[in-house]
Amino acid sequence: MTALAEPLIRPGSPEADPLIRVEGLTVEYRDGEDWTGAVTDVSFAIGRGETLGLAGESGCGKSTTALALFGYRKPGSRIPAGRVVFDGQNLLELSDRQLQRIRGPKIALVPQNPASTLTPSMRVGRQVVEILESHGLSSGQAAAARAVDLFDQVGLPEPSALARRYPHQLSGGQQQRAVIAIAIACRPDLIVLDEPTTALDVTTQARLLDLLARIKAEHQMSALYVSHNLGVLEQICDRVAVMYAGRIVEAGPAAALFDRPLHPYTRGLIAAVPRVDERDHGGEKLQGLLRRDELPAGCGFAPRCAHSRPQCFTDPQALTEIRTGHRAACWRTPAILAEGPMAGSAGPQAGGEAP
Amino acid sequence: MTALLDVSEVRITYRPRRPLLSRLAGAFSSGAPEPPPAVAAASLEIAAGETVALVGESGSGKTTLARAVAGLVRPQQGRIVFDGADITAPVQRRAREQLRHIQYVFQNPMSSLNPRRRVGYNLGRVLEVFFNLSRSERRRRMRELLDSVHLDPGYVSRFPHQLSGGEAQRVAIAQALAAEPKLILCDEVLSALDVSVQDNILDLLRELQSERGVAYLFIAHDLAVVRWLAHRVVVLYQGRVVETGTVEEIFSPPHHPYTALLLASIPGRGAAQGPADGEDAATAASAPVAVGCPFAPRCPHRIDPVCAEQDPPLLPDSPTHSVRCHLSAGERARVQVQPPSRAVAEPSEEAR
Repeated sequence: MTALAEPLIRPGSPEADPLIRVEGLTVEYRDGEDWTGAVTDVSFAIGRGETLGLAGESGCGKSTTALALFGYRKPGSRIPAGRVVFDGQNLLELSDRQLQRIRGPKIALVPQNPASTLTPSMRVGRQVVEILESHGLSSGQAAAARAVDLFDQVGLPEPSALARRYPHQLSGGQQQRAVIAIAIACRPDLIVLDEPTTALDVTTQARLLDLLARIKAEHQMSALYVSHNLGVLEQICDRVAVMYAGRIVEAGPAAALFDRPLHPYTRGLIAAVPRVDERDHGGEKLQGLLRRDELPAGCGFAPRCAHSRPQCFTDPQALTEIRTGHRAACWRTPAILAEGPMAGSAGPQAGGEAP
Repeated sequence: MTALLDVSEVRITYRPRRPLLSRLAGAFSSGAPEPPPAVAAASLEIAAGETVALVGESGSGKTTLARAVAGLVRPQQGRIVFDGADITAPVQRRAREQLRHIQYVFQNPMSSLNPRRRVGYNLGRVLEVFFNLSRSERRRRMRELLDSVHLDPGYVSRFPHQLSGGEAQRVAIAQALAAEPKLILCDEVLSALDVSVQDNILDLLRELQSERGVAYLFIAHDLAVVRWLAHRVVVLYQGRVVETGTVEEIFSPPHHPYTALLLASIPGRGAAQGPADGEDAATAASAPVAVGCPFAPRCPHRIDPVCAEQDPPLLPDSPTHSVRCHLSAGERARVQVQPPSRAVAEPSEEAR
């Protein structure tokens, strides 16, 4: 299964000598007696200093994929296949103790809800100190000074006073900045951001995105940015992978993917985003909903796709390079592209949102 | 034509609840200082069948204002007139017909659905409260309501937990429609939904408005959505109306500097073009100011010392467009570069 991904990696591209490589990752959840796939045969790589975006609707498996990079699995799930290669070792084969030496110092997580990450009864400065001490990077006065320095770096006002506050005394944006400070405390190689700005105001989000871009540049960090907000991904990512029903259906450089999307799902997703410069938007809107219980054997998107043919429901689709570095898992793509850019509003195959 | 809803000069302050002893002691002391108001002298009008969007950051007073219209909080000052009648009174003292004509749809649809009861019961309750219908008439209405939000009649027997987020929001909208209201208060009804589902609900809201002539007060922080749905926009900052106008006026410069910041903050290609106004992160979460323009500490174009000392009045740029700023429209136009090409609003098209 990984053979599919290999020939597509070009020498000299960020993927050629990646920081982390995910190969054929499959995650399944227990469903009574059976196991159902949440993530199926997902492969990607993140280059050094590169930011990869993972896009898709709720339930597409993007967060599950992101957590697998840490060797995390939710209770009731298993990883029957796949490798996550980082620093020459497969993280999925490491013990918890070995993983502890990677989570934090090497790969750090910024989750969606900062309030759930911070310990409510501990001053935020202390929480940074704790992380530094537990990884033996610093201690005592030096660690406390480093905490204040980190808060300053993430743009928190009056960092030394703020370090003495409890999480509930911080606003949502400040909490998320504090979480980012904790995440970068150990200077990780990779930072995984799981919808980090979804709960925030648009102005706060804009400042956090600026901050992340600056920190990434300063620390030479790679990032995996998980979001359903395509605007955010376009702004912050070098490359973007779009997931649907647990599989990557399109991957490519951010600019190319948003300017000239290939897969009908990506096209629908982009068309569905309301834009401030348009009163109405034409194009092929997404119809229906992702229904995991009704996935065909072939392309998972076929039931909602305006371009589907009978084969789509039966033949599995593999990622194929259509343009340089830009891949899509849809055999119809060349034909659809020939119909013209974002060809007319095609009729729905599945009814409205309700089946 | 008189407005369906006329909110004028409404002021709402949330006072911290104080323990009894300190309240008693308060009779003898000067007491704690008054907290800043959540809504300060805010006015807005909604015509029948119109959509007015209320935008601003969290804490700007959007929801508080909507809750006052719904009668859930009581303004300390100002008046709320609906359909010619004063409804400033809280919900308990409103007439049944007044209650019926103003319905509320929340961000989290589950909050208005009884989780232990089927969809049919949840819809039927509203019909029971407001209309004297026979059992069979009620059944027929339920089917019509589900049909109008594009749900299959079979949904009457589903439990709320069996619905997807989009389906639950449709049921919540059907529940609001059941009362046959003239005004629906939509409080961030899209923010919990996926973008594709958002798109469907937006279409539905527009369709229901053109069919039934219902007015919406649409609270949102996503300006692109607002652009798509609203006829007019009211921008709130720290409880004050800083800009109000038609959707075309709000989305083309000159803006209030705060509106300009909101537009520049939209990520990706949905963003307003042109350079974003620089903003210092440290001043971003500015505390409410006692004097002067509330936005002055964050404003890249403030004039010292006027902006720090005097709160500007809400002055008209045009008969439909007002801006609360010391800078004149001409001065704002000069500092706010006209975005190139496509970001310019086409002349108000067939604008529903």
